[in-house]
Amino acid sequence: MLLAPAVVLFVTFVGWPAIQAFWIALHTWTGFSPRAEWVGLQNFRLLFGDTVFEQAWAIAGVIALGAAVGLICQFFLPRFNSLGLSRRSLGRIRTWAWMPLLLLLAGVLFWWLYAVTDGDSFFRACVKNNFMYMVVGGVFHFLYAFLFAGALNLPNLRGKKFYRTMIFFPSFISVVGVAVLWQRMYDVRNGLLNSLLQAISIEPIEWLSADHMFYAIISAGVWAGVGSQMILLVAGMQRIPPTYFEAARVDGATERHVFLHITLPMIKEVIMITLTLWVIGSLKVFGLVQAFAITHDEKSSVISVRQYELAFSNRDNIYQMGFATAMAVVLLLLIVILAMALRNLRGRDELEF
Amino acid sequence: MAATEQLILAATETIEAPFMILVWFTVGVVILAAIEWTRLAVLYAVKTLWVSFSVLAFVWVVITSMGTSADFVQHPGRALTQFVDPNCPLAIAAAVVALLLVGGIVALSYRTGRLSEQARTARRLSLIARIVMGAAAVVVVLAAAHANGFDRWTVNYSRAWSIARMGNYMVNSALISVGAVGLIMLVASMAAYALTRLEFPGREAVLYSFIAALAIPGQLTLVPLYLMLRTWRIEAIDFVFMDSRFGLTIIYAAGSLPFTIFLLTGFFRSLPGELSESAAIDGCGEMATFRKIYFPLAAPGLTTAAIFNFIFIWNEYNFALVFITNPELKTLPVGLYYLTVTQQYAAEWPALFAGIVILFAPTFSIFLVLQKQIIAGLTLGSVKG
Repeated sequence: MLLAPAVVLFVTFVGWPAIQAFWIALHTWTGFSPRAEWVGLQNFRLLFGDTVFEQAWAIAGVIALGAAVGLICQFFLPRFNSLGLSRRSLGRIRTWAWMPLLLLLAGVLFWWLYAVTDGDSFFRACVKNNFMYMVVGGVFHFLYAFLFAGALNLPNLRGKKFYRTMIFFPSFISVVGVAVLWQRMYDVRNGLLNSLLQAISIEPIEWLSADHMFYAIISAGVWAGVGSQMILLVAGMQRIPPTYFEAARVDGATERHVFLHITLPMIKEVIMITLTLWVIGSLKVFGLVQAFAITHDEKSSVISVRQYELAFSNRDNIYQMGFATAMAVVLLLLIVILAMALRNLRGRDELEF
Repeated sequence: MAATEQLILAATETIEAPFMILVWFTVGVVILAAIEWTRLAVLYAVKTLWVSFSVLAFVWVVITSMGTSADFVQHPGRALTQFVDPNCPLAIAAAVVALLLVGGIVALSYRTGRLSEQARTARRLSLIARIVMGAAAVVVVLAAAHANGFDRWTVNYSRAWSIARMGNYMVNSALISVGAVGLIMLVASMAAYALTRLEFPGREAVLYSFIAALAIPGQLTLVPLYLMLRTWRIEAIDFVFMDSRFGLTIIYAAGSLPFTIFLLTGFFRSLPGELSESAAIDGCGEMATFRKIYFPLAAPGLTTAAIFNFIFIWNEYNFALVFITNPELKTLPVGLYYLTVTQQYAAEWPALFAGIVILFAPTFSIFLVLQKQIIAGLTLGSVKG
């Protein structure tokens, strides 16, 4: 009885629509006509292009082969298990069996991104942008998160609370606010950045021109997002018992060695969680990109923004509900695959301390 | 040679200009860190630079929001002069008092920072004193400005509040957030209790389907929900799901369920199970056990979940953008977005920045007051231990 309201709410407003999404993705639906027209996989065919569908059997075969090779290697060639794993740790064996499969999936993705030319080129650009946001943004996120976490972990830092608040706070404000704020900071004539540049007599830079836009968005995202990752890393670092550091220092380890051989391995778990959250979050990114500009071209759009524009704000009043939902399905698949991959990379040898 | 030059040219062209600053900043940091790894100066420098930039940005927004457009374009700092007009002794006196108060705050923070953890009363008193002094400084400055008729700074806020309807949006946001958080805490705590403390067939399946639902992106359910709710209406009370605050509240509550149940099951599991047994012996039913024993005990976990849900729903954008088209019912983020859209070609920066301040202020105060719980909750949810 206690469970009933939650289940009813969840099934009605999350579960059932999620299942329906797969159904809608197989239709064309303008949203206004009473009846949706069944088109099968046509939406996906439009997204990925005919080439992919002609090669579908080949791709499936290659992927199946990869899975088979991985499994065979794991179970019948003990040599492949000598990566420091014992035969007994079945969990680890399964972990490594995924690797060829994942590599092949990545290969197919790259093939589609860079070699295939038909299909929806706008969508392909969006996927590329999403991955750029994930990789480039991720590098800066983690670099700065580590720097700040290291700085905040120093024993004798004054004003620790103030610094933590100022770095962490931007990840708590609305992304629309962040987008609007940065859009104005980037302004050519009156923006804060160009004012600062002018103060040291550098020519104003057109930060938000079509070519630069997406990088500007990534920078704003780094400013806003680095705080939450920093907090997680700090929490992980503070859980390490200080005796480890003391022992290392007594043995004459330098700071670099302490960081590389004690801190990093001990917070591996936290790093993987943070990484997973980042990957999922960067694929789903919507508000920051959408609110940054009024229209989005191929250079500054991501999957979810494109999906929103097609489904709800098309200027021609043709709402492509089915097509947009097909995009969302692809987004879900990307998230699930990447989350699974990271989960398997995580390994299962948890340190107990 | 030519090939190298072309390569460099191509590299500079592909790595885009705004990004270059971040890139060079990072390159510098990495080089410095490599050279002076053990010296902590680098860490301090980067962190200080980063934080001062953030402070600068916020100060810029606040100052701009208090001046006129002309002020802003010609002399960005002029908005401040209305508070310290050199021709007005009262304003100067107020500024001096405010400065003294701020100095007192800094001094107190510095002293308290050195107190040991045991001196809790002193710390608490000092915190209260600092808050009071901060409020007093603000009040003194504003009162002096008001007494002198310098009300220019309020113009943008009142315009954002009434003409740009930020006040209206704020009420909507508050209603939706509070309603959704209340609903979700009630429903999710009951469900989490049932999922951890009661035995029934299919318990694991329900729990795992909730956890699996964490992976569902909102974008997936957006279109189906839209198509579904568009046709739903309850004729008797003239209620529709589209374009209504209540509809959005329910959607938010349902959308936050997986996360909240995930957080709360972890919390309920940490409570001792003997309590329910002794309650059962004393004649409590399931409902009473939950209401009288576990609900109060779980208060810290519930608070954390409530804070997170509130902030998440207050900031939510995607669903609010799709499900609300009536300008009277928009939430704050959507309202701010449309404000920028309508002001795309008008140089009304001060009013827009007043809107930004209005959007940030509630989150900022919640963040300042509840920072400890927020950080603890973030760590609880993600870092095991």
